[in-house]
Amino acid sequence: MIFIDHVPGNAYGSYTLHKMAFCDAAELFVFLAGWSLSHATGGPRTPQPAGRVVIRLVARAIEIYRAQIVLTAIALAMLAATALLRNNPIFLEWHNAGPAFYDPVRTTVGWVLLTHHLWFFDILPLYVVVLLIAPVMVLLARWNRVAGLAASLFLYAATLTFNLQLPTWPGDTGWFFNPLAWQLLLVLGFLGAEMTQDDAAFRLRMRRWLPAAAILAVIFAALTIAGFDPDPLSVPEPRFFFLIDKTNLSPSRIVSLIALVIAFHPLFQRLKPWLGWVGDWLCGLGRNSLAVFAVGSLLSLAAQLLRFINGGSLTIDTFTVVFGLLGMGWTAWFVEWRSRSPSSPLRLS
Amino acid sequence: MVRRMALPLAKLSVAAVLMLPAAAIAQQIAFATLEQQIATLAKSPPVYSRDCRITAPAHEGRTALRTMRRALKENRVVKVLAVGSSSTSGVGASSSFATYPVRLENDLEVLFKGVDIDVVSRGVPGEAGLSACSRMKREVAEVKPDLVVWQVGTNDAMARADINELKTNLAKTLQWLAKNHIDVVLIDPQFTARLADDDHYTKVVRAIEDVARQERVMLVHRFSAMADLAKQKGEDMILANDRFHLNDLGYRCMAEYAAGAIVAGIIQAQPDPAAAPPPK
Repeated sequence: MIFIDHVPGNAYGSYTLHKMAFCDAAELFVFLAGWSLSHATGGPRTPQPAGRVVIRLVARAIEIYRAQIVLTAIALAMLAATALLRNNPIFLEWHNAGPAFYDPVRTTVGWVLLTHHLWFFDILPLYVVVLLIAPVMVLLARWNRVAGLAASLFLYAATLTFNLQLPTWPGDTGWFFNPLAWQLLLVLGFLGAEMTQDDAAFRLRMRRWLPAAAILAVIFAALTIAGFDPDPLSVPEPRFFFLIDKTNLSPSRIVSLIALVIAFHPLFQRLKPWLGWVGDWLCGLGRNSLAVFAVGSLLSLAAQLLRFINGGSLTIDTFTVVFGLLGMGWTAWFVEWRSRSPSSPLRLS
Repeated sequence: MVRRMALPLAKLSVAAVLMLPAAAIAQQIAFATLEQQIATLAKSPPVYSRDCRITAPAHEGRTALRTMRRALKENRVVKVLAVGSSSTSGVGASSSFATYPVRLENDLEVLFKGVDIDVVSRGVPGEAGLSACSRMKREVAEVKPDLVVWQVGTNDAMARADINELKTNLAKTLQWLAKNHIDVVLIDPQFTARLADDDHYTKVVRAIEDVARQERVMLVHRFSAMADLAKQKGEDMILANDRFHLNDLGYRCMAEYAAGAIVAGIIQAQPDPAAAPPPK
């Protein structure tokens, strides 16, 4: 979904989550990242020691940071090459790349400090920061779930009330995903996974709430299709609580996602036996999410360039979607093949 | 205790009563001075500096900038929001001081002496008009400007964006700004000789002109003005090394043309002291 959403104007973009809910694939991505945190740190029954949790999460943050640095370099090279080939400087300004080409000294520092982001390549910096916040939240929530949730909620509410932001430099465009707000979704995902594993009453409650959540999801879908979008000058202050703001993750977006999760979470397990190889393919994408996401991001930039140069058409959109899905599937297969083949000359570590 | 507090309270009340008219008188003086300044500007409108002189005024439109005129009189910081792409963020300028929003702020403060004008620059390089339309509400809610100076169209023209979609969204956003009593000055696309030969590019320039007329918004003809300057001095004089973005002189002239449009709009807004201020 993120791949398709990252090619603006793509005909298939009308059928992705953001056209039917207040939230989109980015919320799902971060929520599931929180969910997997629970498993990665041993789960509630066999929790890993605090030191191990910290090392594991910081190591993961470094791994994602490394991916972000490389992805940015490749994306900049793709834009520069297109500008050269097309003899058109507009590509040098695409997606906030302008500072990298026109102010390289400061932007190189910003690139490494994660204070300069290319648009459509700005979710990994969010992930790095929330993973660095995560050890505190995970350990707090493992000690006392209410305390973990309260700390996360407090930071979220303060961010929306006082418009707290992390700096961007050069240029003050701000973080497209404000990590101080988005950390709440990671914590909700983590707590959801923990309680699903060891709290039977919670699981029962989720099942009971399923019809209400489904109705809520339908209402949100109807409002989204009708174009409901509160006017920021008409809502009370602090306005981010009442908007559908993606940067600061307004509550409406969280409620929309939670409703979808409660309403549809049993679906995949029930459908999987019927999906055959498609189900396995989807699981493969999920198991290798970082590599798939990285390749998907670059493929979506290539699709944007292709669409820009040749104009949009259903043929081009179909080609890019099929090619993109195959490319991401191949990435998942390659990563797993490499990890299964320790003697492979391509194995780097 | 009550008696002890009563005396200071009485003194405070007297002081307040004395101070209120004083503040009102001070405001009246400022008001009169500002009205005199506007009257003077109406009699002899500002002329462009020698380096930026062109054959015709760079702006078009008989649009009264009422909110701006009222804000100037209110003895407070006047907020101007500069929205646009690389020309607003200043790509090609030698420093942030040479960018058009900074120069515009200086020019306006010279023209309206004693008024504190804050030009907030929100330029996003490479941004197309459609994206700026969706960004506008967020920026306006944050800055709460009296005037929006919106530089738009260059990237849409270069991206061969759908002209009708651009016109529709531009018009909708201008209507939203008008509904919220926020004045607007539009600035049309950048000029280079290479771009002027492109049919789609000039169509976008004309489309922005059409929308400005339809929505009765003040327009700065940057494309024509810069073409005029390039004809007089040669493109190299106003363009940066990449031969696409403006250089320091180009930005200086752009700021002068925008300031000229703003002054013209303020002059057209007749003084109406009885008018109630619009909700902000």
